[in-house]
Amino acid sequence: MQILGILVAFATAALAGMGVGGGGLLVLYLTLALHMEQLSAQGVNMLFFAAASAASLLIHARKRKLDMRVIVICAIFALGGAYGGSLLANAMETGLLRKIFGGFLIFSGVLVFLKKEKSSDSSSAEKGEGRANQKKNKGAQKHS
Amino acid sequence: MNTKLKITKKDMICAAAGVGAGFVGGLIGTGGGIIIILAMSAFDRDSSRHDIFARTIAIILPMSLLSVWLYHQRDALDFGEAWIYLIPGALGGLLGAWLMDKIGVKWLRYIFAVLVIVAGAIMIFGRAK
Repeated sequence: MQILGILVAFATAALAGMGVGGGGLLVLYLTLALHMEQLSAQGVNMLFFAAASAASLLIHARKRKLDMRVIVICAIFALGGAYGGSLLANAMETGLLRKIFGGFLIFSGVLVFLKKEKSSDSSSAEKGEGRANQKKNKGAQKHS
Repeated sequence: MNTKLKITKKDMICAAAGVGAGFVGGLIGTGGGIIIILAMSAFDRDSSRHDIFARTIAIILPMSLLSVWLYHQRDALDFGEAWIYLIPGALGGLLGAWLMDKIGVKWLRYIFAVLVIVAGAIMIFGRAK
């Protein structure tokens, strides 16, 4: 049974590291398979997720551009939000928390299909256009 | 007041996205990332999806550490049960970050979406333990 948990954690972290999403999968395993209480499962998931995201950040930080201003501002406010959110989670009845969790899963799943319309192809095309425009602008500046 | 510190619209959006993401993350233990990615992709059209994603991880990492601590403060986190997921989690995270540039994840995304929709329905309509 523990092996299964380890596999779920590994696969979930890999999905999360790839940007597919997946923070919630371990919660599902813990609550639906191991019958852990919702709040405890969320706590375990948080710790697990911190380990997974720290590891994947090691790689991402080398390969990607990190906009530090955005990160710092967003992270500071996120800390405040997290404080409020976890207070509420602790005060809330488990059944309700489960339902909110479920609702959020459905929301995030549906979102994936909605995004399809602006599919990654078209967004990369947009990006190409954006770059072309930038070039044009640069060109225009040179001319002027 | 420091007048040199100019607060832009982008900063405001970042702050709002941060609060929202932190709140959801603290409340249900996941999902903060989606909110940040949504907000970032709405206002930042120049950055690549991969850059936005890396940024999102950098933002939710401190937030999840705080949540871990807060959950622990309120006895909602049992380290004895959590530790076995840490190493597979870290290894998976490394693998995923490395794989991101190697393979297309489009189909994975759809499978994942179907999975979470079904799971969400079970969470809502299923019998609580």
